[in-house]
Amino acid sequence: MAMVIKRIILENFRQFVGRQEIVFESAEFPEKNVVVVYGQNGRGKTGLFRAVVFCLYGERKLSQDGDVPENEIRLANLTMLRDHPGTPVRTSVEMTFSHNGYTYDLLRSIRVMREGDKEYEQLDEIRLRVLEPDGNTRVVDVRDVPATVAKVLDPRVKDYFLFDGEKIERLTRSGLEQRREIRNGVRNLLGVDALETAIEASDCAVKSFNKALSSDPRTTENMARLLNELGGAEIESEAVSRRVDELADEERLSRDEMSRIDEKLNKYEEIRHLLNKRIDNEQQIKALTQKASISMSSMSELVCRTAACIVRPTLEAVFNYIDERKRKGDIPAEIRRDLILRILEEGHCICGNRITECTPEYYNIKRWLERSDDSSLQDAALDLWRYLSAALDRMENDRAEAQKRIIEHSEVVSEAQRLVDENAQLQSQIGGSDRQDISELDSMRSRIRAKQVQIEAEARNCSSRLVELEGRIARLKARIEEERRTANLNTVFSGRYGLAVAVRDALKEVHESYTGEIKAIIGEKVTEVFRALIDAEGRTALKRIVVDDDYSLEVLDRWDRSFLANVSAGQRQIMSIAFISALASCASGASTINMPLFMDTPFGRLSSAHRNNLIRHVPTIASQWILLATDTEFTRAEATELMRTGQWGTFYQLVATPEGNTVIEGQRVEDALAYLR
Amino acid sequence: MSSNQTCEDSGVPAFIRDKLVLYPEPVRRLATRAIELSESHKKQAVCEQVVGMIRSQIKATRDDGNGD
Amino acid sequence: MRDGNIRVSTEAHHRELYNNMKTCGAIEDFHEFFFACVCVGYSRGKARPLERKDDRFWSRTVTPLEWDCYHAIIMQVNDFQVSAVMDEKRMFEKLEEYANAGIDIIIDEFLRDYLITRDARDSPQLDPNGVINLPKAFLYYLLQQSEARS
Repeated sequence: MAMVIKRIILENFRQFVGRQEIVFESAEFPEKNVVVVYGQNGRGKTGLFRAVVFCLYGERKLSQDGDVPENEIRLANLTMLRDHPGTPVRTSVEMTFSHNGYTYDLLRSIRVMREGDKEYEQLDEIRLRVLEPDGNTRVVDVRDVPATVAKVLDPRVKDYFLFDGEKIERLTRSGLEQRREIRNGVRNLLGVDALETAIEASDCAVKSFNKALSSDPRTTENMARLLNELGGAEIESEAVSRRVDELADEERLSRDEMSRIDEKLNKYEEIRHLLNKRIDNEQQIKALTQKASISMSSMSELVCRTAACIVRPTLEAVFNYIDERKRKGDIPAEIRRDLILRILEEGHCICGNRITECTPEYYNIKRWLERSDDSSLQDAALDLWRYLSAALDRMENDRAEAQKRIIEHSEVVSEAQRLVDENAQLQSQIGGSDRQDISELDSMRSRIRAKQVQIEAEARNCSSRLVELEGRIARLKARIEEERRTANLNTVFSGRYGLAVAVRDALKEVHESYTGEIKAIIGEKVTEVFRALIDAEGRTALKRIVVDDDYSLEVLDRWDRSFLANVSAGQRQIMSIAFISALASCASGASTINMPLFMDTPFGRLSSAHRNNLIRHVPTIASQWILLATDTEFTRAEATELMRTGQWGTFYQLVATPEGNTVIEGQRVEDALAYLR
Repeated sequence: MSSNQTCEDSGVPAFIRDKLVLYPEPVRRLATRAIELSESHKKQAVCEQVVGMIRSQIKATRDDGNGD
Repeated sequence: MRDGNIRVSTEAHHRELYNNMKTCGAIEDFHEFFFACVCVGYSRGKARPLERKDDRFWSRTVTPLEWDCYHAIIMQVNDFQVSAVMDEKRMFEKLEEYANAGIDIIIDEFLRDYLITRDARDSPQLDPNGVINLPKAFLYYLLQQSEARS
């Protein structure tokens, strides 16, 4: 069941002076899950979310506060502090919320006193009462409050249930830092961080038991050596894997930089066609290089067949010899050798005539004997004749195949080189331009390109090395297992090592399977929400969103090409909203978002079509939507659209007082239009 | 992570728990515990705990007469 | 026939070279390089006994085409006596000598440019920085050898 905030009572919190209440869940229509809090900038809309976070977790800082030190974020109302110098002012937030059939009433308060230009703050009270489904109420021990609250709404999740317009936009900017932000958020949210820490920890345990097992005198020398080798190979494999990840980051960074430069260069009309040609050539060079690499690795397949052609004369000679003997009837022999031997021994031919030594008949039969081989040799000769016949038939084709492959490879390399040379010429045309800005940009681009080539080469080497190491590790593990079995090594050390390996391998397998599935699930969910929110034009141009290996988002057009760089600001916002919704829904483990969703000015750069889609869709995917809106973005048009959903439950205005404080005024939803532009 | 977890539930996401079910005891139990500990502890601390749990497990197995 | 339990040896001196040829992708497995060396050595009529034997691979990795060629070679050397191929252990002992001569020829005529130049007494070793085109070059060398013999 979902978490729903029923009401919040603020007391001297930020600009909310005195005791003020917002009821989120309408008593009359509790099923209407949309709350609108409306007010100009600075009236305290974000302050409401800050109140929620403070009440739930005792935290005062939000992610949007950036580097502002926590102790500079004040919670107590300034007017009250000013009007009551030397007297502690009680600042509190009380929140009532429901979850899973339980109703929670949580109060958190501090007392703040101002003396001169100093402020003193002290924790006042934390109280959590739980109304259970059976009607009983219990008070939670203050030490258990954080754990109880965390079970309702995990603190790590909170950043994804408030999002403001800036955060929305930041999340989908293309750039390494933003991708990392998304990646860390997703990993943190879905517990992948904990899983990965568990893998590292279990790996550490494996190494520790490996060492103990190697040092155990009962462990055979061979086993100890294998364990050491395995340890070494695993360490190297980890290091190479890390390097592969680093190179992937570097590659993305250089690609981003390259795109930015290309974008700038593209503005220069006079060289645009040259730039396009150069980019085309680069793509072709990349494809040809890959083709050449594949072709090179396939050469080894033909080594045997080509080498056999060297001894073709021998094969022919032997084939011809056996063939001749076949024609003569020696193979298979017309008369079997054992029969000839019997004839000579008995001195009688099969026709009944006597065979005497030193007669012509005797010598004929002896010649028969000489020419005959025993049956196994005859079979061997016949088999060889057959095999050689087939091999000789194929030989010409084998040679032709080898020649063809060599020529093809050369052609591919040659074509790639031609394009490289062409690009060098284009380079000098572009770089040699009279415009210094073009030349400088182009030099920067060349340096990045050189760096990319270096990165690609190193990445290829690392990948081959990883494959080699993985093979070696697998072989060593098999040999260790066999050694354990044959040596019947059932010692304590061996048992511990075996169990540690089993736990680590299980965690790794789960990680691989889990992360692959989660990425696919998030991608599907993001696409589903995105397509519900985006306008018709966006739906046509943008087919789907996928989560890359590093958990960053990639927008694909209908030809599955990357479109992220071309996405408009409004579409980015929609994408971000879709992404966060998908994440929240995955974290909930449900198809809807089971937490209240605070959106602070989400409409900023959205077109009216997008706004309407958002208004129609969000109430269906979130258990509660608290929309914090300014007068410029929540107008009668949006209000009308929201009314149509039938989900709008409560409406509050944040009104400024002359002292700069805010008063919360509840209005009837039906009267909302009167207050809006 | 899910808001639907009760006090008795492990802190391990349902997705992961479903996959660990396929592994035999005690691998499943130890792996689950390692993840739970990793939610709030650093790698080294978790490693020490895992080492301890494995030692206990092997000792318990051998005490049951399954060892040499 | 085609006994898979024979251990085939090469000169210990060449172990590193066999490993390098496999790592750089010029061959898929050791038996292939051995076969190529036999073909080159035999086609030049050269054989050289091994001084220091080192196990290289099992005969069970030998392909049917290689077996056929080995049988043909040994038959030809033994005056086309079929019986000569029945003792395959002995057959391989002879083939090892052809391979030993063949590898010297291949090193001399082809691989020298790819070796790390060190003391001549050291085992030949491929320069990892220079072998990127070796798979193709080796295939081309074999093709040229086959054309010279045809």
